[in-house]
Amino acid sequence: MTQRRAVTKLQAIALLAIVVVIALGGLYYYMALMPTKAPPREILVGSPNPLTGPASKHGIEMRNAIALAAEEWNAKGGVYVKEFGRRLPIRVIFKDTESSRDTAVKVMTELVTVDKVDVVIGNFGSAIVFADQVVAMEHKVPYITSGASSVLLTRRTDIDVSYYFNTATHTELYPFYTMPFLDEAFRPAINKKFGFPETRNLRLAILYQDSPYGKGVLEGCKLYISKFKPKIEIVEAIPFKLGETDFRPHLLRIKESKPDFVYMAAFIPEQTAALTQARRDVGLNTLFQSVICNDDEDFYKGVGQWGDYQFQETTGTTSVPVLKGPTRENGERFVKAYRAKYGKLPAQMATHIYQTFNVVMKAIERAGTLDKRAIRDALEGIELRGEEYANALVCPFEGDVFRFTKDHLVNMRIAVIQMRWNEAKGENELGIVWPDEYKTAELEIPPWYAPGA
Amino acid sequence: MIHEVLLWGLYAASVYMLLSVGLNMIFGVMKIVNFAHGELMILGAYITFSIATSLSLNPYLAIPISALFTAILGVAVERLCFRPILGTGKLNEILVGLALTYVFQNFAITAWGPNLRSLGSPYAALSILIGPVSLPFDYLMGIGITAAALLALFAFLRTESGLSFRGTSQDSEAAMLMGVRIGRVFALSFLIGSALAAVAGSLWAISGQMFNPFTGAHLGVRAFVVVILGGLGSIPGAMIASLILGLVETSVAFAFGGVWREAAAFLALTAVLILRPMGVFGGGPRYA
Repeated sequence: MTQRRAVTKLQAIALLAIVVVIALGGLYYYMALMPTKAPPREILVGSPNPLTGPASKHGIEMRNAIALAAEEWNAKGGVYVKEFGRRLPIRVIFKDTESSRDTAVKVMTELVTVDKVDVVIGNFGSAIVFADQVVAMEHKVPYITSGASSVLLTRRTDIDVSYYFNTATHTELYPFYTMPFLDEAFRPAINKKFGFPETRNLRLAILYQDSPYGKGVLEGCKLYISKFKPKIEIVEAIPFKLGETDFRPHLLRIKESKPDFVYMAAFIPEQTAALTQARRDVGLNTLFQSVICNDDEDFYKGVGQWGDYQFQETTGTTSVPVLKGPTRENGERFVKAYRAKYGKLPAQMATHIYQTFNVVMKAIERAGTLDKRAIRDALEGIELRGEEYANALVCPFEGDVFRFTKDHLVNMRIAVIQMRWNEAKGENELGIVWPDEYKTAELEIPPWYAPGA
Repeated sequence: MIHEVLLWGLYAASVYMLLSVGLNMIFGVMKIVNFAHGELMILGAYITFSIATSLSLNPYLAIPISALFTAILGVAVERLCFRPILGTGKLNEILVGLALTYVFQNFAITAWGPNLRSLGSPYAALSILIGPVSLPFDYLMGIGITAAALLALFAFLRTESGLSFRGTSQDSEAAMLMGVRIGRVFALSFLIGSALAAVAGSLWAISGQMFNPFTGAHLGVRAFVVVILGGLGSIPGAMIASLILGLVETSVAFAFGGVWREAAAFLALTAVLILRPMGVFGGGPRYA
C-alpha cells in the first residue's frame, strides 16, 4: 500500500493563491452585479468641524449654524432639484475633526467614500483645510468653507482645487478695508486733533501671528500700500508665536517705534492679552484694530475696560446692529433665530457658514441635479442678486451681489466698530464708525491717546 | 526701556515659579512627571471663575477654595491613577499623565464649554508707581501671593511632616524603613503641587488672560522646561530656573522678536544641559 504524500509548501502557497484569486473575483463579480442604488432621495451634506480640541469653540458654533440652516430649508420641504421633479430634504452628516489635521483627513475620507456625500460644507482653520481638502479634491466633491482665511487654499497648484470654494473674509481682503479706514477716517481725525499737516503719513505698527493667517495680513497691508499709496507708512512689524500670552516685550518694541496706530492679526486670547498689557503694563497709549475673526461676544466681554475706544472689524450680525442694506432683514431674522435656539449671539464663524450653506443650496437648485460636477459649475457661476441675495445672505457683499471671484473667493464688506466701555453696565458698547453708510457712532480719539513721533 | 524689560522678565518668572515648584515637588517625591499639571492649573482657574461669578465674589477670595478643590482632585489622581502604576515603568507613567490631560480637557469642555473665559479683577484699573514703572496692582498681588505660598512651603518643609517629605524624596525605601508612611507623603506631594497649580492658574487668569480648556498645555510645557533647567526634584532649582527663563525669554523677545522667544528658552535649556546635564541644581532632590 502506497502512503499518500503530504502537500508540499509550494503546493500549499499555490492553493492559497488560487483561493484568494477566486474570492477576490467573486467579490468583484458580486459588487459589479449588485443592483444599482436607488436614486438619492435626500441631499447629503458632509460637515467636518472641530467639535473637540482647541478650535472646538468655532467648530461648535459652525455646527450649530449649519444645523439651523438645514432645519430652515427642511421646514420649507427641502431644496427643489429638477432631476427629481420635487423638493429633496437635506441630511447633514456632522463629523468631528478633533482640531487635528490627521483626523480631518480621516473624517473627510469617510464622508466622501463611505457616506458618499453630495457636498462638503464647514471646517475651520487653514492648516486643517489644507490637509483634508486633498481628499475632497481627489474625489471631486464640492467643498466649501468659510472658516479658513488663507488665500493659498484656492490658489495651490500641487492639486486641482477647482472643486474648492472659500466664502471667508480672507487675508487679502482685510487691508482693503483697514487701510481706507485709516487713511480716510482715522488719519484726518488725529491730524485735526493734534494740528498735524495733511501731508503727514500715519505711522502704522503691525503685530501679527507667525502663521499663514498673520503673514497674509502683513503681506496684504504691504501690497495695498505699494499699490494705492495711501499716506500710511509701516514703522514696525513684529511677529509673535501662536498662543502667546506675554506681549510686553513686543509692545515695548512697538512703543519704541512711536506708532499712531497698531493693526493686530491675532486670535481672541492673544488680542485680549495684548490690549490689556499695552496701556496698563507698558504705557503704550495708542489705538489698536483687531482683525475680523475676533468679532465675537467672548472678545468684547474678555477685553473688558481695556477695549475702551479700541477698534474691531466686523461684517455685522455678531454683536452690532446688522449692517444696513438688502441683507439686513434676513440678518436680523437669523440673529433672532440663532439666539432663540442656542441662547447666545452668533459669532462671525456661525454667521458666515450659515449664509454659505444657503448659497450652496441655491447652487444645487440651479444645478437641478446632485451631480457633483454640475453643482461645482453652478457654484462657480452663481450670482445672487435682488430678492435671492437678500433672502440667502445675512452680511453685505460688494455691489450687493453674491458671486465667487475667479479664484473661488468672495468679497464680503467689512465695517469698523469702535468699542466704548460702559462702567455702569460693566460692558463694552459697540458703534460702527466706518464706512459712512453703516455708521451708527462717531469716531472718537480718547483723551489718553498719544500720537507717534 | 531696559529696566522695563527686566521687570517684565521678573514678572514672567513669578508666573512660572508656582507652577514649576509644584510639578518639581511631585517629581522629587514620587519620581513621576505629571504631564497633566498644566491642566490642573487651568482647572484651578475655572473653579475660581465659577466661584467668583456664581457668588459675585472677589476672585482673590475664591482662590483658597479653588486651591482646596484642586488639591483634593490632585490627591484623587495620585491615589487612583499614579499609585497603582508606580514602579511599573516610566512609559506607563507617561501614558497615564498624557491620558489625564485629555480627561481634564474634556471634563472642562463638558463642565464649562469650549468658549473663552476671563476673570475680571476689581483692581484692574489700579496701578502703583514703583520708580519709573507703573505696576498693576494685580501683578503686585500675584507676586505677593506667590512669595507667601513659597515661604509657607519652605516653612512646611522644616516641620516634622516636611522632614518625612524630604526623607522620602531622598530615599523612599529608607524612609519607609524608618517608619515614614510614604503613601501619605505621596498624596501630600500631589495635594500641595495641585494646590499651587490652582493658585498659579487663578493669578494668571486674574492678571488679564483669557483661557479655555486647552490653555494649560502651553504653560505646562514652559513648566517642564523650568523643571529640567533647574534640575529634576530641586525646588530652589525651579525657582532659579524660572528667573532665568523669564529674563531670557523677555529679553530675547524684545531684542529679536517674539518668534525667538521659545527658541531662546530651549537654547538656554540646551546650554545648561551641556554644562550641567542634571540641571542647575540637579543631582538629587533638594528642598532648601
